[in-house]
Amino acid sequence: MKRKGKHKSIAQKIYSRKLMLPAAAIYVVIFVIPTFSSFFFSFTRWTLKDWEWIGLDNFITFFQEPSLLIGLKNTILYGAMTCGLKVVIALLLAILLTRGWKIEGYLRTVIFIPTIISTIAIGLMFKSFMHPTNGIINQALDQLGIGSVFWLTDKRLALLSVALVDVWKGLGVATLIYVAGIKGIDRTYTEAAEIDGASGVQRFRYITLPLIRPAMNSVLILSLIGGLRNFDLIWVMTGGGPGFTTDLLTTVIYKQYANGLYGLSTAGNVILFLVVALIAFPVYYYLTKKEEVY
Amino acid sequence: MKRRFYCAVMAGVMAAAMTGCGNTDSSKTTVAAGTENANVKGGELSILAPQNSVNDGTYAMVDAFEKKYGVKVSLELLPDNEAENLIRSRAATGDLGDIVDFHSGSQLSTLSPGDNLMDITGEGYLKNVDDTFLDCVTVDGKVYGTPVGPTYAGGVFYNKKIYEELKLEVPKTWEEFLENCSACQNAGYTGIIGTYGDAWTSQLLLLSDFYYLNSSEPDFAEKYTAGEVTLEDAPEYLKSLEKLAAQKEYFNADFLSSTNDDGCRMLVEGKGAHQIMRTREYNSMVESYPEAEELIGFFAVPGEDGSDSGITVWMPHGFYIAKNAKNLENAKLWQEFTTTEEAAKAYAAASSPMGPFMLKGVDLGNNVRPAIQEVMNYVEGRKSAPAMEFLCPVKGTNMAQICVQIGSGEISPEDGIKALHEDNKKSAQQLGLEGWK
Repeated sequence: MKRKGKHKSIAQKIYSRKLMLPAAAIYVVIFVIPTFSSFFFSFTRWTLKDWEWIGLDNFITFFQEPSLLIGLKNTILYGAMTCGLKVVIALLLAILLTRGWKIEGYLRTVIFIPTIISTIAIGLMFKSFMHPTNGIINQALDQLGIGSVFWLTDKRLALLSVALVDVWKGLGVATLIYVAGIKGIDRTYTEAAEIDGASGVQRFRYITLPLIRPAMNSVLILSLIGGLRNFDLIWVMTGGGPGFTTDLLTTVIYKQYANGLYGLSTAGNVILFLVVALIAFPVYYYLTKKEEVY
Repeated sequence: MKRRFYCAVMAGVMAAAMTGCGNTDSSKTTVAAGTENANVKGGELSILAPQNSVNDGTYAMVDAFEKKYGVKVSLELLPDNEAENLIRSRAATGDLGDIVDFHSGSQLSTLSPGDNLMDITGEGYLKNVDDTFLDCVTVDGKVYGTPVGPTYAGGVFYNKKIYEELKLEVPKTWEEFLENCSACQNAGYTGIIGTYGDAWTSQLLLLSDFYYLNSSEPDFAEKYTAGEVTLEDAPEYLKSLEKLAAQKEYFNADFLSSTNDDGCRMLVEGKGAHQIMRTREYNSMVESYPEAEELIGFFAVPGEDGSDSGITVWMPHGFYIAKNAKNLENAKLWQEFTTTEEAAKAYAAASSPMGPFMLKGVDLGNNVRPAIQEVMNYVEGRKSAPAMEFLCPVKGTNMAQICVQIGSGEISPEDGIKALHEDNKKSAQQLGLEGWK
C-alpha cells in the first residue's frame, strides 16, 4: 500500500507492474540475452561443441579482408541509395495521388501491390528480366538499338540494379505514409496561401513540405533501417556475386555461418548491429528535433 | 436453427474427410511384406541426401535394396546450394535420421564425424571398398562411410561436330587448346562456355588441373596440410590460376549469368565448342539431352608441354550412419549393400557410370558412354590423380567466389593465390589444424 496513492493514475492502481513480468521474461530470454551473448561470442572462435577466446581477431579479419570489408562498404551505399530514392520518388508520387483525380484510389492500390508480393518472388522475377541475353529488359533495349546491359554482373551496375528493385517494392508503403501525411495538412493553410497568391511550387515548399516532416521522417528512418538490413533480395538476385561485388554485411554474415565460421559470422552480426545503431539513432534524433509541431 | 444445421453438416463432412486420410500406409507395408525372401528384415530406413547427389542409379540401388530386404526406404532430398548447411545444422541438433549422404575427403571434417557419425572401423563389408576411398572417409583413424556411387573425373568436354567442321584435333598442350578456341571464335562459336552463374563451376578448371601439380610435387598436399608451405610455394598452382585467367577471352558474353544447365544446352546445341566440367555434370546432361552421348567427347585439361596429360578424379560422396540412428541395423545393412557388386550393377544399369567404382573387383559393364570410355583410358593408363581436397583436409570456403574473380579478370592470378591461401587459413584454423595457428 503506497502513501503516494493520490499521484497514481487509475491505470496504475488497477494494473500492478508485476503483470508485465511474463512478457518481460520472454523478451529478455529471446532478445536481450542472445544479444549480449553474441557480443561475447564475437570475441571467440566457436564450434557447436566448444569455444576459444581469440580477442579482437575476428574483427581484425573483418576489416582487413577485402571480401569482408566490401560488405560494410556496400551496406552503407545500398542503405543510402534505397533510402534516398524512396524518400524522393514516393513524395512525388504522393503529390500526384492527392490532386483529387477520380482514378486515385485505383492508382494507390496498384502502387501498393508490390509490397504484398513475396520479396523472393520479386527477386527471381527481376533476375530473369535482367538476364543479359534472355531477359526481356535487354531484349527491349535491343529493339531500341541499345546494346546489352549487364544489370547484375557489371561491377558498377549490380548493386544499383538490386537497389532499384528494392525501391520498386518499397514505394507502396512510403507513398502511403506520405499520402496520409499530405491529407493531414489542414486545408485552411493552403487556401490562405492561394488567396495570398502563392504559386503551386511555393505552396509546396512553404506549406506542404514542412508540415509533412513527420511523415518524411518515418519514411526516411524505415527505409534506412530496412535498406541496411536487406538480405533476401540481394541473396536471390546475385547471391553476393559475381565474386564478392554485391556482398552486403548480411550476406557476408550468412556466408560465414553457412561455411561453419561461426565466430566470424557472430562478429559480423555485432558490426551490423553497431552500424545500424550508429547510423539510425543520430539520424532519428536529428530529424525529430527538427520536427516542428503546429 | 438453420445455422446449427449447417454447422452439423460441416462437422460431419470434416469428420468423413479425416477418416479417409488415415489409411494410406497399411497398403504399402503389405506390398513390401509380399516381395520377400529369406533375407527379410523389414522396418524402415531414412536417407538424407543433396539433390544433385542422387540420380537414376541411386534410385535403382534403393529399389533393389527395398526388394531384397523388405525395408521401407524414405529418401529425403535437400536443395543443392543449402544442402551442406542444412546437413551440418541437422547434425548439430541430432536430426540426421539414419543415413546421410555427404562429402568425403576434406569436407567430411566439417561435419564433425567424431561427434555426429557412427564409427564403422572394422566392419566386415569394408573389405570390398577400395583403399583410396577408405582413406577419404577416415578421420582421426576411424572409418565412417561407404561410397554412394562411382568416382567422377574433370576435364574438357567438347562438341565433336564443331571439331569435325573446323578440322580441329584434340589439343596436346594448353597453347594448342587456346588456338582451337580461337578457331572456334573466328567461326562464330563460343570458344569456352563459362557458367559462372553457378559460382561453383568456376573452380573446376583449377581443381582439374591438380594432376600436373601432383605429378611435379607429389608430397605437396601433405606439406600443405602440415602448414609447412603456402600455395605460392608451388609454381604449378600459379600456372593453374593463369589458365583460369586466360579463359576470359574465349568466354560467351553472358558467362557471369549462365548456369551449368544453360552451358550444357549451349554445348549440345552447338553454340559453344568447349565446356570444362566433370563427368557427374555430363551424366545429368545426357539424361536431359540423349543426343549428347554421341555428340560430346572428352579430353583432359592439357598441360604446359605435350609430354604428359592426365585427369583429376573426384571421390564419390559417402553414405554415413548418424550416431543416434534409430534403425541402426538397417543402416549397416544399407552400407553393406552399397559395397556389393549387385548394387553397383543396379546402379550401372540405370545410370551409365561416370567413372570407375570404388569397389574391388567391380567392372563397369557394357553400358559405358563414349566420353566416359575416354575417361577410363586415362584411369587405366594411370594418368589420374585425386582432387586436392581428397589428399588434404584444408579447403577454403570462398574458393568458388575467388575463382570467379580470377576468371572474370577482376583480380590477377598473383592476388588470387594470396586470397585463396588466406581463405584456406581460416578453414584450417576453424578445424584446429596444427601448423596453421
